[in-house]
Amino acid sequence: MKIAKVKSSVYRKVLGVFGAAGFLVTFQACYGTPQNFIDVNGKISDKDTQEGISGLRVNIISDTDSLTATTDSAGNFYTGIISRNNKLQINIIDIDGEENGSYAELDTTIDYEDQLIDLKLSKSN
Amino acid sequence: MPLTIKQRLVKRVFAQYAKTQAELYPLTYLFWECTLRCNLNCIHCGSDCKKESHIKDMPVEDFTKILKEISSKYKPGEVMIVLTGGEPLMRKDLEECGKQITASGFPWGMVTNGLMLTQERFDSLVKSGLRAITLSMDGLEENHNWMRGSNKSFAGVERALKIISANENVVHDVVTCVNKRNLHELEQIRQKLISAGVKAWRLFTIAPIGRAVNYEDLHLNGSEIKTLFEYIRQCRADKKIKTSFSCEAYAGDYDHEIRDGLFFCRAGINIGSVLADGSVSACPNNNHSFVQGNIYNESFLSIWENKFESMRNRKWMKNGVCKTCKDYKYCNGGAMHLRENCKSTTLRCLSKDMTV
Repeated sequence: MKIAKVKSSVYRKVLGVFGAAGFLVTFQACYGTPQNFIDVNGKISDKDTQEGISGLRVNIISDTDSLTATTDSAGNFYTGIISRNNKLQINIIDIDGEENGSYAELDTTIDYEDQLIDLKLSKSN
Repeated sequence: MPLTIKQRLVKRVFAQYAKTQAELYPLTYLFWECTLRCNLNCIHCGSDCKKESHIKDMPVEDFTKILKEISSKYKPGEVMIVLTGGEPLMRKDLEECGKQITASGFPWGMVTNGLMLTQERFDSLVKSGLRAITLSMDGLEENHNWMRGSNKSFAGVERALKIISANENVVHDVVTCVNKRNLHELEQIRQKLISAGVKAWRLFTIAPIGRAVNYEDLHLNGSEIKTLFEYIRQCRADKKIKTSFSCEAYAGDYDHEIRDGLFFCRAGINIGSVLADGSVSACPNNNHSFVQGNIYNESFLSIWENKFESMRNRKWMKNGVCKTCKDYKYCNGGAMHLRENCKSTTLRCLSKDMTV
């Protein structure tokens, strides 16, 4: 199974080189509807050390969705699905206090397709 | 026309990718045949539904139990739930179904004939989490109504077109089953869709299964299939509306030009279905002989994880016309819904039909 996963990933990358990977992610079953979602995944890192930051609450708001997640020990988060082609408002708050340093709250807006959200935070004084 | 080296290479790599997907079989698309009741009597219906069905609609609680099982292995956000039928709008509790699916974390959409779709109903479905909708329009008024067996059907579609195309947050497309009668009016249909603001149009041929077997006018011959593919190719070039051929069949040398992806029958590999009586299959239009189990006897996840062998290992499909076909390495025996059982030959090959 692991080998198949690696192979699948390699084939995806090769197809990506040829600009043919888009249809691997979403497809329509014969008599089904278009797929209309993408996952929101991302990583929040320290601006200076580049290390992932745990214990951050990530709030994501789009026209149709409002999602929340907390970063894990590596700074990764997964909030779930949103409608495709949305502009996302992102708000990040440090909720674990001084445990791994305090970070300043961040508000930002991005155009989200299906990229991994990669944001950097600075420590607050 | 011959394929370029790049196109051949992409086809080869894609075939390998499809092979690894069959080994991994990640569920990403689940149909729920939420009712067998239907308000139309379409002559090409593959599920042979009726206005009143002796099979009762599955309670939504039974379906959400399945979703809970699926959540134990997959991220809900990565599995699209598609409500089909019958006609999903026949269910008075459709909004409640949608709410529960959404509450379980899954995106959902539905396929509809549009006849019962009002602005009010659509708005309430959107509030229940509807993300995607597919509407059928099988011709201009005369031919659409002929296929749908109702003089009111076309008016219903026209109304529904305006409703779905006005909403930016629900992805939509319109599907047309192309046949001998509507082949010559495709451009008029297209203009109508563009005027209505429709963003995407998907064209099908009609499989010789279900009621469609009995109507000769429904089935295109090789030359007409070629006409259809040439037409789709032209439409894709001008980009006024995203036009594509469905994923129903391998299209030979046209395969890379008439849709975004290459042919890959994902039935039982990425696509599963829960039928009205609890049967678990791949696509709802697959022959009943491919039913793998029933949710009332066994857990869905156990069926998905342990069965479907005939769809994940398709070597048995290299029979009949496929046995010596040079394109087998690309199509892997074609679509599952064109096989009657796991010993049968394909009921149809569009690629081969074009060469006759």
